[in-house]
Amino acid sequence: MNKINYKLQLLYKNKLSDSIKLYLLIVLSFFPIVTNAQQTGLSIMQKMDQLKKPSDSETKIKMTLVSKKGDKERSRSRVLTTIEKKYEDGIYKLKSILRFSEPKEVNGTAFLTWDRIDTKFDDQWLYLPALKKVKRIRAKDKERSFMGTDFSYEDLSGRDLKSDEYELIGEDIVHGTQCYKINAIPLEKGTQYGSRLIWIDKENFLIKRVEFYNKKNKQIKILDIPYHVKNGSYWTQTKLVMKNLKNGHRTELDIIKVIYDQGLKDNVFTESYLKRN
Amino acid sequence: MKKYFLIYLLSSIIYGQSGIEIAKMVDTRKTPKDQSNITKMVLTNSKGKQRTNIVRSKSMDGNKKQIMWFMEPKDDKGVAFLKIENDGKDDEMRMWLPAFKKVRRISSKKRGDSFMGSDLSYEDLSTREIADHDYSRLDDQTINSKLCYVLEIFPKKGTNSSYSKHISWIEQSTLMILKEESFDKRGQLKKKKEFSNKELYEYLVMKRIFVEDVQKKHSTEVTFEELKVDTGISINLFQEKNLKRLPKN
Amino acid sequence: MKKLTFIFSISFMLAQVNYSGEVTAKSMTRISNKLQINLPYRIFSLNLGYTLGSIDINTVTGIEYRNKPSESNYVLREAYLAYYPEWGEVKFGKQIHAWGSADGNNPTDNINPYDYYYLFKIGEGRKIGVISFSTKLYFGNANLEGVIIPKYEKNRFPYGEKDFPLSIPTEPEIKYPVENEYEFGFRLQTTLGESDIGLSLFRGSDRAPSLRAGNITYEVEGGIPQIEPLLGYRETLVTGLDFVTFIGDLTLRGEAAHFRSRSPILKLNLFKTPLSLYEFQQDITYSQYVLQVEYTTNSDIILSGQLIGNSVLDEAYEWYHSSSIEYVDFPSPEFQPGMGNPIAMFSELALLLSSTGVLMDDRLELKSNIMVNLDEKGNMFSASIGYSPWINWKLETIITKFNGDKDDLDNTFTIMEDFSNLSFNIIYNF
Repeated sequence: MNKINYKLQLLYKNKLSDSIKLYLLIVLSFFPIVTNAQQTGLSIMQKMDQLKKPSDSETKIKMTLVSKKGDKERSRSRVLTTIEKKYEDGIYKLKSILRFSEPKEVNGTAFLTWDRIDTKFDDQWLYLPALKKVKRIRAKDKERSFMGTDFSYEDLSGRDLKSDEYELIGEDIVHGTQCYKINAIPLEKGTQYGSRLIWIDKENFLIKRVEFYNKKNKQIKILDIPYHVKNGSYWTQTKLVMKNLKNGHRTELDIIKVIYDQGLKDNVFTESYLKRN
Repeated sequence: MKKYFLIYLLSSIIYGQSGIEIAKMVDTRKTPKDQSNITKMVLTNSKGKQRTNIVRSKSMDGNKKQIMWFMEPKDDKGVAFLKIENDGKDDEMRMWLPAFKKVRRISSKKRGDSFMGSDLSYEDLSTREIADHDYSRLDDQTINSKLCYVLEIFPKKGTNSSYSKHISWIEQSTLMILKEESFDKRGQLKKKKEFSNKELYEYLVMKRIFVEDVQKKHSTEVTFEELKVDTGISINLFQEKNLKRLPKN
Repeated sequence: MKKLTFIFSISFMLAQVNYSGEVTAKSMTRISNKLQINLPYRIFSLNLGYTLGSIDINTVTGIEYRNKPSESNYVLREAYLAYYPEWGEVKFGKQIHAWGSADGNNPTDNINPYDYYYLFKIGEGRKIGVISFSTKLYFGNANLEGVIIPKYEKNRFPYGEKDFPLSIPTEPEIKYPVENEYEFGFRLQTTLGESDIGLSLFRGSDRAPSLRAGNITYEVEGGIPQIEPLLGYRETLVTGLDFVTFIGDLTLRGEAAHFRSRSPILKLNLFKTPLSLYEFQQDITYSQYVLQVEYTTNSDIILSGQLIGNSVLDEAYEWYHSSSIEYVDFPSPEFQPGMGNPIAMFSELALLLSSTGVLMDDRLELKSNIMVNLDEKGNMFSASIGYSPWINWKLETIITKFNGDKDDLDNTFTIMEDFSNLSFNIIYNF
């Protein structure tokens, strides 16, 4: 112990002699230090997942559906409100309910999700008041489009970090931001996608883009999140665009208003509440 | 003196023939160009209980083309079967199933399968190719006062046979097979077959086959009734579409 | 007149008559409560054929009987004339067709609608005859069949049948029945090497109804819209591929079908179109396939495994106001296919394993089937013993059991659980 203390004192007080430099190099080479430049795919995803999130939020969104018929583009818009609440009961991590208010044709249509902690398919319900139906969305429905948008039911459920294997494959600039580029390969069968490419902003660990590939490795969708705004201690996505490469269709979500931490009650996130206005 | 010398000469000629030569003789004996009959098959189990199947059958080209319609029992009625043997290729077998209103192609590979639950297998019913077998000759024997050639027939390696050997008794004067014993792959006696023939014009055709599976203690008696030969059956009869309708005769 | 009668009677006498038929007594008991399941069944069935030269006249008739309340219905299932020239077959009349190479599950076989009362009977027993004209040409190793159906027939559903688990209480009114009734199809089959390959095409109207339009009203201004559904039938084009091939001792059978279903144009009187009418147009592409492996053991037990799949490939829909052609944003109901394999309603991916064996010289027939849903929980198991004490008689006992997912009440197997039953049949064939 004394010998080491003596050596350290030397380090601090004197210039390092060559022999000590060599000694340090040898010692240090056996203990690699993780620096910022040595992030792994998983660690980046974890940093993204651990960003501060509100205990609940209420978001008003304008949804635009753009379809292509030859050269012409046709768009239609809807207005919806999403309320979300964080859970820590050991089964669910988030519960949310999405309700359309405009246009009048979809007024009252609501979608309830209970996001599970594990890798099983989330619990989802769709209420169509015009057809007087509550439909329980099951795992086999995951590929189907949600309300004619380019988001599938699987896209609307939270994907647990344990579901994929992550590999950092490079860096890229997307939406004017330096990003990590990560390849996510599913570990289980329960997904419609063969793999995803995820771009995560190096500075704030926000998802900027996701490219979706089918099981035959063909790119089928792109999700772009070009704008994020910091509201107090929370980062908020302000625009999302999901493009369907197969038919040229896209869905744009513009966040109009967000309110955080209102202290929302649990009974709001139930099947019975779904049918109320 | 001369008589004995003649017999001796004749016998030496015969003794001079090997198994394969006799088999070739059997194979090239005159067979009808086409044949039609009503085949009745009676199955008897170890307890003596019987079950009867009746099939109307037509064939040509020495059984290489066969078509048959099941008549009894009544829940089989309407089922029909078409078999076309191709040189070099596998046989084509198709069945018409009225319950499905469909012609169903079936595998010809399973040579060990018994045909219609009888003691006859698909292999037993198909033409035995000379090139696929080895032949050796045993001493002549007399059965039912008929002098017979006795051949040992071994399926060659690579042929799809469920037997290791057959012993066939072939009547010398008619070159018709009278009796056969077939041995399974372990060399145990499996089936005893008896054949009866009938003269029809210049042909000798099979009239009755009796097969006993000594291992299963089960027997099948097949009789061919309303035998007709060389009636000028058209090659077009052996087509899928004819499975769906019974012929007039 | 007398001459004609004379000629007729002579030709009738010369005509060869052949017949076969079946008489059945059946009893079905629900396993859960031991009560009788009261559904109609075919108590008597007769196939009658007259052959005169190359012409056959065939009829299949039957009596459908129900226990409670006791009622019998005479059914003419098929009645057609068939002509067999050298080059093929020509058939005209009410008849049942069968396409496809697989057994029991045939996505390419869509000419005849299904009778859902006989859903679990495989073969022609669950099909409904259609009036059609068909020609089949045989040339070399190949054959080409064409079918034209001038009169549309739909599936028969057990409406208001309390004992049938998938039943709907009342038959819905069809606001837009099929207008273009003409349906047609082609199938080309040829032998390539050791395989038989078939290509088929069929265009017709869905055999099951779907949403075609709605009378839409708002109970309060700015409130939730109420859709009164108006039903019609989509038009579907099916292209199919089927094959049989042999690999060693195994027989491989397969079928794949691609369906494109579209809502037909409605011929509406513009002056009489109510303002509340909104049309729902769908354009859906889906596919179904079956892959079967069959093996016969040395003791003649037939083992078969089938992988059955179906998936929706593309789903597009539009709602628009009938009078103003303005596009509106109402939601779409869940898509149900109107053609194809009925198993599609049970599962999107299922494994079906079957075995059949006969013993004692055909006196004893043993069958077992298990269908396992691979994408969700659920399975169906059935086993039967058929004993024939005397020739042409059969006593049959069949057990059928459905197992679903107690946590998922929408799962079709869960709905069918209560239908698990034990069935006894006495059958006489003549």
